Amino acid sequence: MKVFACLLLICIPFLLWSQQRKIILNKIEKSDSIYQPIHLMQQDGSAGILVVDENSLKEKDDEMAMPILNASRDPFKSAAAYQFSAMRFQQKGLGSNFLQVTVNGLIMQDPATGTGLWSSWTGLNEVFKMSESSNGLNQNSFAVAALGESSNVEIRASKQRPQTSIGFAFSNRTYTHRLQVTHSTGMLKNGWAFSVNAAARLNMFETVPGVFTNGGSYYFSADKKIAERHLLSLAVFGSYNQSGKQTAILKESKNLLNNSHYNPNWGYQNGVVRNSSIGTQYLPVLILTHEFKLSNQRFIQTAIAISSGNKSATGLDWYHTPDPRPDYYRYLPSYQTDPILQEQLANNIQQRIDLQQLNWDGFFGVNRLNRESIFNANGIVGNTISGKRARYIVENRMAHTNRLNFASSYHGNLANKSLFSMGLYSQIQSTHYYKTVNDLLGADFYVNWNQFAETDLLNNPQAIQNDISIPNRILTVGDAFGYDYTMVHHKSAIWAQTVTSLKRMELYIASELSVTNFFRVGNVVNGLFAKNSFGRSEPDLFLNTGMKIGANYNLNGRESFYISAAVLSKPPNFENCFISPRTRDTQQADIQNENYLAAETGYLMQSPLVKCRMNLYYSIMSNGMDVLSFYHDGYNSFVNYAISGIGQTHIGAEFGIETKLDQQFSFQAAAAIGDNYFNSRQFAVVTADNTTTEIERVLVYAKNFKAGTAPQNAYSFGLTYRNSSQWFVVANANIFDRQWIGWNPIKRTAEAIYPVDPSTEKGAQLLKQEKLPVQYLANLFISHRFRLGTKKTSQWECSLSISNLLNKQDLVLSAYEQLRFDFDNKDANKFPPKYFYGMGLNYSLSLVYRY
Amino acid sequence: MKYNTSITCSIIFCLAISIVFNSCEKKYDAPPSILELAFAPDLSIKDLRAKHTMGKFEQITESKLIAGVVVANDQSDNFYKSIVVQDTSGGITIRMDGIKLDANFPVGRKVAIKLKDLWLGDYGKMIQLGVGVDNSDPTSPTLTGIPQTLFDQFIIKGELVNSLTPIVVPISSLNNNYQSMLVQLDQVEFAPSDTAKTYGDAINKQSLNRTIRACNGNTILLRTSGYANFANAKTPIGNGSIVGIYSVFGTTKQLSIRDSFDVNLRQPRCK
Repeated sequence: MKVFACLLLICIPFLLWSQQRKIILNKIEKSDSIYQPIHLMQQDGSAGILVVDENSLKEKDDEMAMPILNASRDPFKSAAAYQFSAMRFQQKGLGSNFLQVTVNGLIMQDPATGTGLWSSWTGLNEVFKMSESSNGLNQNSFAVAALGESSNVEIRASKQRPQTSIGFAFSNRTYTHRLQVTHSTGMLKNGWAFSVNAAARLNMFETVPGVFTNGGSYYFSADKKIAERHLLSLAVFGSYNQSGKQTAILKESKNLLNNSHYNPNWGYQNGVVRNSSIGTQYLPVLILTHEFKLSNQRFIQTAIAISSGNKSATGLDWYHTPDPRPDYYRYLPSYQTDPILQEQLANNIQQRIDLQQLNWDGFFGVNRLNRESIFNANGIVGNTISGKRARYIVENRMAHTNRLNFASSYHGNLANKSLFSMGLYSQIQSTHYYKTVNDLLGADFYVNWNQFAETDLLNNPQAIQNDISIPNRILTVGDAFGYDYTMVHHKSAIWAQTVTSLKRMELYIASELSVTNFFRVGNVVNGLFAKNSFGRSEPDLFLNTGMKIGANYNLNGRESFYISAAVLSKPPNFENCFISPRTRDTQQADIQNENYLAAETGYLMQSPLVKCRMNLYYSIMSNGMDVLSFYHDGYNSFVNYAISGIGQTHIGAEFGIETKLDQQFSFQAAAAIGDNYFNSRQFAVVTADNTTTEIERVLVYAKNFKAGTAPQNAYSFGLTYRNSSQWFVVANANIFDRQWIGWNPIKRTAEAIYPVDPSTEKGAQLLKQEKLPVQYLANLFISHRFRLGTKKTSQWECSLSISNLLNKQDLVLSAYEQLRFDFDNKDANKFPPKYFYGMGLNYSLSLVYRY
Repeated sequence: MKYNTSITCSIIFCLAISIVFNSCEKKYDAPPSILELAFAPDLSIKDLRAKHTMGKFEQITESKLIAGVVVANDQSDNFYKSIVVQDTSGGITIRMDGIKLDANFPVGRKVAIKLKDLWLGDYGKMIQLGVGVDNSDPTSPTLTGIPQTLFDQFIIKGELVNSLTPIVVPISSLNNNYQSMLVQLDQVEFAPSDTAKTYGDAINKQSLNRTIRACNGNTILLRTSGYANFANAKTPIGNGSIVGIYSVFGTTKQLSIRDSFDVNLRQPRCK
């Protein structure tokens, strides 16, 4: 009967949906775990918001794809994980590349970007549960040099709880249906343990047209215990994911269409919704782990992993044809000066879907009419190819990665209760970046030319060739074109840690020494940069150290104080060193390590009635580098701003408390108050992608601009009802404040704003960093566990998670200033900021059966 | 036994999922070409031009339709933000506020223009069609080009037909009725001082005038933008025919070519 009721509940949303096809934004995927109630509350996380960041050529998807593995009992961390994360709150203002994640003790971070490889196990939350997580700079088993949280995930079969679980969930998010099956045997008498998990995410209807996620993931692990002291484990997992992406929008578009969930990435093709921006990824991993127990307290754990796979993203490319994007600034009413025309444009856009969205049929029409002849095609003199040359195509930006990962560590105790561990790890990775033709949109061919180089043709007849070894290359579907290069990374490190326990005190010290090197291999000779686009670049070599020291003092059984500090250096990311790796191997002039200094102190209390944590942190970073690339009207080309000397200060306090009101009710409150800002002026060298010359050197007046786009202050208040572990209800209200939009360094230079006087109102308008208003979010979570029949081991669990209970449609998750700037007229409104709006009320309903 | 069954089930489930996803790559349809369009003009371009008084601006209030063939566009950037449309009775220049117009309006494409709410005006007696009047400089108001967003509201795109045959006209016969029409001048050559010179000033992006002379001594200016992609090409020395769009600037007769291929001077110069 209860099952029937639950199934009925799951069906209700279908009925509701068919009744009311109101388009609601669906860009946040919810977490996958359907294990404990606390997991189900997870706000977003796994494969989060899929973003096409027009501000940068760098693919930034992963930054948003950070799952919350943490089911911590810490009241602040649980608020950060389940309440604040919906607004992309970052603990201590630290991005995902400051967190450290290990799987079976192996560092699982992309050595190229430092970002966790979360997307390799999207959907496998049932087995990828965190076994260990450190609080900030506190000591941990496998990682040393991280400013943010460190966590280790244990996926060995013998470490999984022996049971079978089957789960189904329904939601109105990027996927609508989720299924998962897990079976773990636990350690069997014959010394074997097996565990399997398969999961699928399917989108049956798109709440926002074109925005979807479809994916499947698998995991298999087998452990064998050999002679009591050895545990050998094999694990293989992979997650295939395909998703239609969303992009940030202008306030003008939002107001014009009265829709904060407007997504200009899609359009109708023959009446079918087609998204131009589809991301696909599949990067399976195989891990072999060996644990050697030397004694009860001492063991050596060694793991090796190989991984190979693809990540790709489609997008439109166009040649000698109007910009296909419907929200291109010249197409909008604000571009007109005549108020009558403005109104006429507004009316037209409001009435016609082909002006709001991509006009695929129009692209086909243009391609069909474009008959051209290409002379000396494919580099063969006298070879003329005639036909329909594409002006619009869909390209696929590919990144094929091969990775080898190794780690070995010793853990044991010294004579006096001290824990000692040491280890080494090594990562080698090569990633091949290139583009392929995905769809010619009705044309016969495309040509491997670089249109931005056409202005250089007078001086250099080869300039437009993307690959001079095959000039005028004719391209058809599947052919590689444009840029083509490989980045090779290597990192090796040794580390050691000692934790000494005194009577009331625990002291720890940890240090790491690492070597990183990377180089670029150009696979084509670019016509513009014939001398430095092909072959191996000079390798960059970095030597890094990290050190962490801290103490925990136990006042009594319930209260403790802690203090810790860390000094470390990190190599810069290659994409911040190479000013335009797609075209050439030129690097920033002075490449240095980034330096970090961090300290924190706090108070912890754990009593049966009250759990509380207070934390103060301070960190400074210096020597940061960045490269910004954007389309510059004046140069008719992509322009690169190679920025160096970036410094940041992050300072703040975290607070969390949970108190029991009575047997059933408890109250939680959490607050994060931070100030994350740039503490220095920066230096930028400007170059263009269509010429070989350096354009200018400018000073960026960056001091005291806010860092990050997430709210810096966040508050949460929650009430929990728990009834003999059968019913579990949590209601939360959250407040977010001090959120700034991402600022454009190019605008904060004397050269950009001249002749506007910065002390005038217009000057102030140009330089101001926009602050977003205070925002509110309410969430509700209900879970019910029950048994059917007499079987004690089997259990059903039905839960409902509702986010944005008040259905606020205009929650701004983040916003950024466009890099494009009106250098001629200094009009701040010509290229106004773009905003990401969060989804309205969204829910997930799930049913899990375990036995 | 139970474990084995579960494992087998799970593996089958995995396989099923992978099959589902491998077949998930959607194949998109290609839309048909809109070849058949109801082209039923109820006004000739000549009659449209007749509605204009030189030096004035007139808004068209009737729902009339003209139809013609695109004879020039911005393909070589000699024409900027405009296309030229011609029917059997005459031609007209349409001001368009967009770039790369040749993608949607290639030479030879049939187009029909819905005239209601458009404006007639002239620039140096050269009659044009636009979407409004820009009075930002009250001493010389100009026609505003049709914004890209409104192209489809005013212009119906038809099929691609063969390019129009230019009308062969002697220079002396050229008058305002030939404005914006594709004309061919026979037995002409560049004036001696204008041979082997660049068509336009590509370096300073300046337009240049080159004198075309018929053997009988009549002349007309060939005007070329410094932005034209052939601006740097040299004017030929010989004699022959030149095809181009006829225009005026006040009382000056001008010709604009679509590309250097429009100039075909291979015969010996006149005696």
